[in-house]
Amino acid sequence: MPELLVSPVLFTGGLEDSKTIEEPGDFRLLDNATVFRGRIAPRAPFIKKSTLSVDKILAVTLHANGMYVVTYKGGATPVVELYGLDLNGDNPSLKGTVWSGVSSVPRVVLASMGGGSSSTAINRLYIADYAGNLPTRYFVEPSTFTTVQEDLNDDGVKEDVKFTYVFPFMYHLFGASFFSGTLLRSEVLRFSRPGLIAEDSGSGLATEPREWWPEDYRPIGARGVPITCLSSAGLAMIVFKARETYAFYGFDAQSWQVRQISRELGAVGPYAAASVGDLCFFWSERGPAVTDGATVTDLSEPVRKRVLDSVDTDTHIVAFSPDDLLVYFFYPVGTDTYPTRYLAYHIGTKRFVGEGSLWAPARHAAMIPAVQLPGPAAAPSGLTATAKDHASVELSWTNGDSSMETFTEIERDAGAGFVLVATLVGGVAKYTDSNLNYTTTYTYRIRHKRNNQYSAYSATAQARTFLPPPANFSASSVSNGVKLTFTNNVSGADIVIERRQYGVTGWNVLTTLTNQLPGSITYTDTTASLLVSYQYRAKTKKLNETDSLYTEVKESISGFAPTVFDVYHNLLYSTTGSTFIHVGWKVSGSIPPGSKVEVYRAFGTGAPFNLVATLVTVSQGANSHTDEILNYVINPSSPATDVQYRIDLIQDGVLLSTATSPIASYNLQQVPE
Amino acid sequence: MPAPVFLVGDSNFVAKVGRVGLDFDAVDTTTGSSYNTVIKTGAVSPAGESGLCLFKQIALRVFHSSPFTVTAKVYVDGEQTKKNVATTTQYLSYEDRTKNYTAQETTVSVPEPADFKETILLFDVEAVGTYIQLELSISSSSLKSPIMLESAVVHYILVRTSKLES
Repeated sequence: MPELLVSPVLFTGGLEDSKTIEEPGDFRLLDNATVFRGRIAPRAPFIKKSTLSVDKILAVTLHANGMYVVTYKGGATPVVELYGLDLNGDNPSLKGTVWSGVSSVPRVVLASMGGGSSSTAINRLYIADYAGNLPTRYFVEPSTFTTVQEDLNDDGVKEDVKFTYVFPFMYHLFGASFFSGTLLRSEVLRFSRPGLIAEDSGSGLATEPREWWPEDYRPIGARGVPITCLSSAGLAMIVFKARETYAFYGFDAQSWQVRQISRELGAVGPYAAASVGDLCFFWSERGPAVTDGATVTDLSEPVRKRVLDSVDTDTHIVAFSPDDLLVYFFYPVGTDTYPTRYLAYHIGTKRFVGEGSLWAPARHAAMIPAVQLPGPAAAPSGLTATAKDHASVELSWTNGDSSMETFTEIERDAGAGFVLVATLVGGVAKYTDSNLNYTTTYTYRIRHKRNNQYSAYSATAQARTFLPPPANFSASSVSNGVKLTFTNNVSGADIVIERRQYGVTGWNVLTTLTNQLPGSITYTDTTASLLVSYQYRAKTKKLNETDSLYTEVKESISGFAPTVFDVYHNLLYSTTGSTFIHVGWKVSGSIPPGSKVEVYRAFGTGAPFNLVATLVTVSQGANSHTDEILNYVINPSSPATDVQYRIDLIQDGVLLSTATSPIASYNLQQVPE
Repeated sequence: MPAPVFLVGDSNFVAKVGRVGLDFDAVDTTTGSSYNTVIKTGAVSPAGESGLCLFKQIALRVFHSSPFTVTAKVYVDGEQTKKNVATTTQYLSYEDRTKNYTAQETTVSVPEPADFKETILLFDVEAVGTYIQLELSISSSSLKSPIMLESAVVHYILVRTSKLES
C-alpha cells in the first residue's frame, strides 16, 4: 500500500498561524472574498449601506459632523449633486446641485474648511473638478452654493476660479492650478488668506477685501507638470506630482517653504494619498509608498507582482481605517477602469496583512468617524446685556465650552422673535451688537455649536438702548456769540446744551431746549464773552428714557476778531492857529467790551507816529475823528508836508488790530504860537 | 467601530468597510445583492514540478458560527476532476466509460453550530496529475455571521518523483 502523503493546498495559516499576505499565485480568483492574516472570509469587508437614486457616486468626505457625497446623474442635462448623510451612511438628503449640464463625469475633490474671524465663523465644503473644467464652488449649510470668484490674474476683473485640487492646511485653504483665460498654470499652488478672512490686498481690485490674493502662491517644481494630489504628514503638507513629491512647511505666507523629497515617486491621482498621523501613504507608479515629510519609502516590494501591471491609471485610492489600523490601497485589475481590489497594510506591524475584492468598482473612499464628534461640553452661562449707547448693546458671558471648534451663536429678539445675528469662534466671551434702533428693548440668548451640535440656550438678557444724541452737532462763530446747529431725531425730546470756556474743567448747562420737534435746530449763545474760546456739547433727554450720550465736543470762538481797515484822512480847514484834518476808518468783527481806539499821526517825511487821541467809543462800521494840528495853517505856497495816520484797536492793553492810512501831502505853514 | 472607511463607487452605492473576517454587520439584503465568493488557489505541485501524484482527498478547515454552503471544485493539471455517474455496474468500453464521467463538484451544507466551532470538510477526488488547484464558492445569502476558511491540505500518493529534482 503506497504511503498517503499530505501537502498544503490552501496556505498554512488560519487562527493558529497567522500569516501575512500570501505569496503571489496562491490565488487565481478572489471574488468577493477577503484574505486577512491567513484567513479567508467570504465577501469583502465592505458592507453596502445606502442606495441613492443616482448613477454614480463620485466622492465622499466628512464635513460639519456629517457625511457628504457628491453624485452624478446622467440624462439630457447631467447634474452633479451633493447629498448629506448621517455618519453611519443612512438618511441621505439632497443638498442641491453643484454643477448642471456637465459634459462628462467629473473627478471631484472635496475639502471641508473651517475658518473665519472672531465675529464671523466660516464652515464651507469646497468642491473642485480635478480636470479643471468646472468652476470651484463651496457649499454652506443648509443649501447655499457659491462659485469662487477672484481676480487672480490681477486684471481688475473677477473670474470663476477653477482649482484642480483643494486642501486645507494650517488654517489656510490651498488650491492647485491657476487658469487665466486659456493659460493653465497647473503647477501653481495658491493659498487663501488665513481662515479665509477677506482682506484688501492693495492691488488690482484695490479697495475690495479678498479671500485669495493674487500674490499668494508658490510654484511647485517644473512649469506645466500638474499637481496630482495634496495630503499631509504631521506638520508638513505633502504636494504630489505624478513622479515627484514635495514637502511644504510653514504656517503663513511669510514662512511657507517647499522642499523636494522625491524625484522618482509621486502620487498617481487625486485620491492616491491618505494622511495617517505623521505619515502619508500613497500610490506611486511603482506601487504603495509612504512618506514622513522627509523621505519617501517604497512599500511595493512584497506586493509587486500584484500591482505592478495596474499602476498606470490615476484611479487608485488610498484610505485609512483607524478602526483596525489598516491602510487600504485600492487598485484596478485587468480591464477594470476603477479599483476592484485592495491591499490592506497594517501600520502597527508595518506589513501587508490582507487583500480582497470589491463587488463593484470604487471611485473614492474616505474615513468617516462613525461616532459623533463631541458636542458642546456645556451651555454658555451668565449672559449680561448692557446698552452702550443708542445703537449698540454689549453682551458678555461665560463660555460653557471654549475649545477651538466650538462656535457661539448669538440670537436677538426685538419683539418679533429671535433671529441669529452672529456666530463667533471659540473662546470669545464678549460681543457688541451694533446698528440697533434707539429706545428699543432687545432680548438676547446665546448657545454653543460644536461639530454641528448645539448646547442649550443661555438664560436671556435684556437691554434697552439709549436716546440718540443730537446729530450733526456743530458750533460756529457769529458776531454776537456762537451759533450751534444740530438735528434732533426724537419727537418731544429735551436738548440739554452744555458749555465751558476752553481750558476750564467742568461743564455748565447753558440751556435746555424743551419738547423739541424732530428736525434741524439752531441756537445762538449770546451770553458768551466775545473773542473767547468755548466748548459745547449736547445730549437728548426724555422722560422714562435713558439720556443719550453726549455729542462730540465742538469748539468755537465767540464772535469774530475785529479788524481796522480803510483808514483815510483829508484836509478840512484852518483857523488862526490850527489846521483840522478828518481821519476815518472802519471796524469789522466783534468789538469786545473795554475796547478803545488810539489814533496816531506821523507828521513830516519819515517822522514817527505819535499818539494824538484815544477814543473809548468804538463801533462796528465807519468811525471818524477830527485831528487838530496846532500851530499850522494852510498856505498853498508853503512846501508840502507828508501826513499819515495809524489806528490801533486795543483791549486791556492788547492790540487787537491796527491799520495805517495812505500818506498825503498838505501845504501847511508853521505859525508862531 | 469608531472610524470606518466609507467607499463610494462607480454605482449608486455608499458602502461601509467592516472589519475583515470578524465583524460582518448585517447581511446585505438589498435586492439583487447576493454575493458569491469564489476563490481559487494557484497551482500546487506536492511532488515538485513534473512530479506525478494520485490525488485522493482534500481536507478543508473552516472556523465558523454561521451556517454555510460551500461548493468545491478541484482542478488537476488545469482540468476539473470528473466523477463516474454510471448507475449500473457492467462492463463498459473505454469510450462508454468516458461518456459517463461528468465534472465533479461537491456541495456541502453545514448547519449553524451552537458556538464558534471548527468544521473539517473532506472532498474525495481520484485524479492523477502534476499539480492541483482548489476552487471554493460560497454564497453570501445564507450567512448570518463570519465564516473563516482556514487552510486546506491535499492527500495524495506519490506516483513518480519530479525529474527536475537533483
